[in-house]
Amino acid sequence: MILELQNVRKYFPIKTEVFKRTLDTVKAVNGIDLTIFRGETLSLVGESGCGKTTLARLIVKLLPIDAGRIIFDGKDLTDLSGRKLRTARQQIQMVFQDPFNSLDPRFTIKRVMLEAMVFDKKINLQQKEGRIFELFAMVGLPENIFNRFPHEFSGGERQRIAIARALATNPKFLILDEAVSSLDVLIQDQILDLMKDLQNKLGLTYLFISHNLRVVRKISTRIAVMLQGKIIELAETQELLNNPIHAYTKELLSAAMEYKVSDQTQNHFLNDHSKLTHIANGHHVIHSF
Amino acid sequence: MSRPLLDIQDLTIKLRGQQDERCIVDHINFSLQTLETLALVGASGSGKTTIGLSILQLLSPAMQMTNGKIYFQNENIVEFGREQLVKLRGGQIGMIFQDPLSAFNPLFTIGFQIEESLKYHTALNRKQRQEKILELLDIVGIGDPKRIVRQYPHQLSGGMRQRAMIAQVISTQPKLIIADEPTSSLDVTLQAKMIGLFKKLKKEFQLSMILIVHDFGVVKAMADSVVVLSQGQMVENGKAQDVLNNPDHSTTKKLIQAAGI
Repeated sequence: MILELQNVRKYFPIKTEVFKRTLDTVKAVNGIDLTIFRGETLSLVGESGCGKTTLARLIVKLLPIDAGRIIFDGKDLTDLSGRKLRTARQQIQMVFQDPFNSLDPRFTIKRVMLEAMVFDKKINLQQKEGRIFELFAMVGLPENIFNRFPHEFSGGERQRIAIARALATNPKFLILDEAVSSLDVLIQDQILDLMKDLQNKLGLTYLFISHNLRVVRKISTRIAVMLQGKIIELAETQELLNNPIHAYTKELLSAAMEYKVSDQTQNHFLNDHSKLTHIANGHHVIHSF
Repeated sequence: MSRPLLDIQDLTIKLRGQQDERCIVDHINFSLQTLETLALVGASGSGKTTIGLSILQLLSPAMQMTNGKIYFQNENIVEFGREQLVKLRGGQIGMIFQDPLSAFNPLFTIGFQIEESLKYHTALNRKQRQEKILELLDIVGIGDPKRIVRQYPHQLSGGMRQRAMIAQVISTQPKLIIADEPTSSLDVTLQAKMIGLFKKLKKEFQLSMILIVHDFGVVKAMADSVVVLSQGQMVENGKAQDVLNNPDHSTTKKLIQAAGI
């Protein structure tokens, strides 16, 4: 296994405007246990607001964690800070949804790429440039884009740049947060193919976050469905698509595949203490009381 | 013989001032019957939004319609003057944009902005307008219309904003709605709900629709007929069922395969 999450929690307080009294809390991530194996693609699906992105931010420690432990590659990341955290983070990189916002508009592509390697003190500038060319070749970008700016590229090209940047530190683990959602279907396919190709070449592990099961099934080894800060169902891709158990998974599937929602959409209530239970063949579903 | 509701003939659009002969929209012909839903499908940059904008004569100054006729209810829109166009836009033909946040003015409340279209396109008085707005918001599935009319666009979620925009567009009882990627910025559950809403409104308000999309999943769920575009050219045109089951052109095949349906 490469990443293990143990009972991870993140609550956001809702405060009053003036006196900052806490009115309520949003349980964005509410006790998640999850193991991701080396070389697999685990997809996290769910509707907006279910806590997918918060979980991703907790893993890279862009947000402080409230409770639980994060173990990456045998090392406990939970309490790391400073230089040790920076070293560990080189192994985990992120690709964001919107390539129009994730690249600084005032940086040339060269600067975007060099910035990602700023902590790499072992190689000099020339070697870094050589490395960037290697990365460009890997993601299918030409070499002559060094001095151009992000706005000169199309959405698909920008996402390739973002992937090249994520790979600059030689990571083992990539988090792709809605990385293809803003692209049209043909470009989506190209980027998914590129990611599969890179996974084979570099032995990467992916955490792929998306709301769309139709996209997810093309790339995932396993799929985890999230609702209200909890994982409610987890299984291998084919198993989950063929035998969804939880009512919400079924809803999500029919919405993604056929654009159908039943008129009386159920409200799903999850107990704080409900846990994933193993059914068979690695198929887990939450046990609601 | 009477013409269909919308009839586009030989529509050609080029970049202004460019010497080369490349067209953004290249001699396109298609027509739309009353109550029909037609999908314009293509990858980004294929010219589908440009066609949608040209129907409302809203092309950016950089683009020029060099050829073609657009007949709407037997009249050629291309020859319309300013006043006729104002009546047409938002009155007879409504447009739903991809991004509901930038389609609303952030400085005015939702209620004010819906009332604005009622003011210009209907003869209702102030009190009737207020009632109408509440009724419209209720129809599009907004739970608490009295509160929503006083809110600003940024206070609503993406799905709510999209519903409010639909309320504004149907407020003038248009004959034709052009919907530019109406579901692309929403998550799948919301997309499915929106498509359900469009189907309901089509029946209730006797609407015809042009749907601009890149996703054949949406086409399958909603459209009667399809026009497939590639680099400004029409590569396939037919009934949605036929195109989905027997795609002819390689672009269509690729798009259907990529949609994963």
